[in-house]
Amino acid sequence: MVEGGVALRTESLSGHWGDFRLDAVDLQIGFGEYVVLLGPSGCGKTTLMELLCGLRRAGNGRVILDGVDLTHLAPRQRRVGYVPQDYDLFPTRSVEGNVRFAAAMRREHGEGVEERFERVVTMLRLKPLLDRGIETLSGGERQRVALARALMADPALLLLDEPVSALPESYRDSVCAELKQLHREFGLTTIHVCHNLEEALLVADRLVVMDVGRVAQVGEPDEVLDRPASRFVAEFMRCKNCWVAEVQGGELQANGFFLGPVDQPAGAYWAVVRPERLHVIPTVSSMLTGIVAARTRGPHALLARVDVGPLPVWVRDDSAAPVGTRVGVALTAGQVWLIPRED
Amino acid sequence: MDASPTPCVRRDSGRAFVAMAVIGAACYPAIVATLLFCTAWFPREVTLWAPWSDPAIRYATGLSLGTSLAAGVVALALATPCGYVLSRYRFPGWRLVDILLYLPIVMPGLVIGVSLLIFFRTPMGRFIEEHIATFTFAIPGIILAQTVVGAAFATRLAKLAFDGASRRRAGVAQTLGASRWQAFLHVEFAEARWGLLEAFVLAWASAFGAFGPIILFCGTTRQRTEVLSTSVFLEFSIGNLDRALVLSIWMGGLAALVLLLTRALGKRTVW
Repeated sequence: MVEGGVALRTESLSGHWGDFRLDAVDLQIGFGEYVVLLGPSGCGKTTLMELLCGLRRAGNGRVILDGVDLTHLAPRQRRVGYVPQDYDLFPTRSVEGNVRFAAAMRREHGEGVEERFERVVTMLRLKPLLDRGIETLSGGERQRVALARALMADPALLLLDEPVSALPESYRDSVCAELKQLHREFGLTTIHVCHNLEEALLVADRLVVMDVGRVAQVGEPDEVLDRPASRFVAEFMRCKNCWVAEVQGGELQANGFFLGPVDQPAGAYWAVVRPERLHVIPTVSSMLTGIVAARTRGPHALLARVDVGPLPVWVRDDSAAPVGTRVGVALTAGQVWLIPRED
Repeated sequence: MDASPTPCVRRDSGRAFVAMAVIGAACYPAIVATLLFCTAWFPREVTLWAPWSDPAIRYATGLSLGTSLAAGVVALALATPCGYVLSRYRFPGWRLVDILLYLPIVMPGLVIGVSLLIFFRTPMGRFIEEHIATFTFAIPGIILAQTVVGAAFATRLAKLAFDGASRRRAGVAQTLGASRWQAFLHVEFAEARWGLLEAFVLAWASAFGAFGPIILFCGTTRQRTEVLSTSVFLEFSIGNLDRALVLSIWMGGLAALVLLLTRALGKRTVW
């Protein structure tokens, strides 16, 4: 499942704190992988980060990094870099004091440290800021200082807790691109926590989707988008086509509309298909036709809602057929991903 | 055309609020200033520097400054861990400890003095007096009495100082390679330092002005255990109103001087 060897492994990591409960988290993250931990607010993303870097004690389970069991080690022995959500820079120190903090605490001196300092500071464009106080920095500058501070500790795993949430919307994308660039440069195994789908899709090699207190699905972005493990994942990934469906006698019926034969056993399902996978086609060559009921602009394409009988289908539509016209839809039962449904 | 006049909305400038705030804020400083003024301008026959020629008063002044500074340091040393634990942890009995630490502020100084006297008559107190140092009616006793009073104030401020310092940043420091001690020293203590300085100043000030516990626990023997606050009382009790007033003015002046010095020192200190 993970190419190039496992860097981080958690084994049924769990615990409860007050009202919050974390259920057995089993994760495997490869060397140099950029994984995005995605989930709604309050699902336990930050708790999981704190368990990994040692700021919180696990009730049960183990954390293994590079073959070393970290579970009972102090934070400073773990080589896990943590960049918290609001960066938590040290206000009593200058930018340089913040960046050099790790070396100062470990009493590291010499060329190795200076070389690393030089490289990190250049990479993050902090040279002109070194003498500044923390309170004079902008959000983006603070974030770069926090990153530099973590990188100076030479971590084996980097945890970024909502690294761009505190920044203005307009330059989140470019900062994300920078994070990826940095990741390539340092080849660091990275976990990036966020609650925003677009941000996650922009940077992730692999996604870990969390529901409250548990991991709902792990996979590459396309895999999670095309084949969500549960209705929660489908909704969280904002799949517009998620229908109540049934399979009877090998026939798939979604929202009361017969879509055709499928292999799944008879039962109740959620039927899911990404709008990006569907197209509008000329009515003559199509088995399914419907009326364009609405249109919207998706993240990467124009989308149209075509009402095929009782079934509202969101599709890609670059032809921009006006609302009210009849169009054909390329949709077969085989394209639909079925998730067992319990009522 | 509709000729009805546009309704005029009165602009809410908030001037009334500012005026009330200024008047309200001026009340207490006005009271303090008036009292100072009355004390200073009360007609008297003793000059401001006259008591300086009395060796007993010189001694009392030195002892006052020395013991109160020592008490301030000891009080801060006691208050820092106490304030830290109260700020960072919640444990069974937290509320109880919190209330307990308010009591020295509430209790009359005389009661604290009596309690100290009683303590040094218990076996434990006697042991301390015999083997470590004499407190009753002696200089260490003055420092002890002042510390008990000063530490109560210092603990409140130390807790506030640590409330304002980030526990989370201490955690981040640990992920960056700091030990628990380093994280405390370089992050929490560093962030709380101005608040702790404030705690020291308040501890010192309350120690400097402490009277009740000292007069009961250490008495006020000339050239031995007489400090300025007890000198004032002594002068009053023998009908020497003028000298009492002058000594009070001295105390006020010295306190202002020490406060100014601490602030100046604090501003320049680099940690």
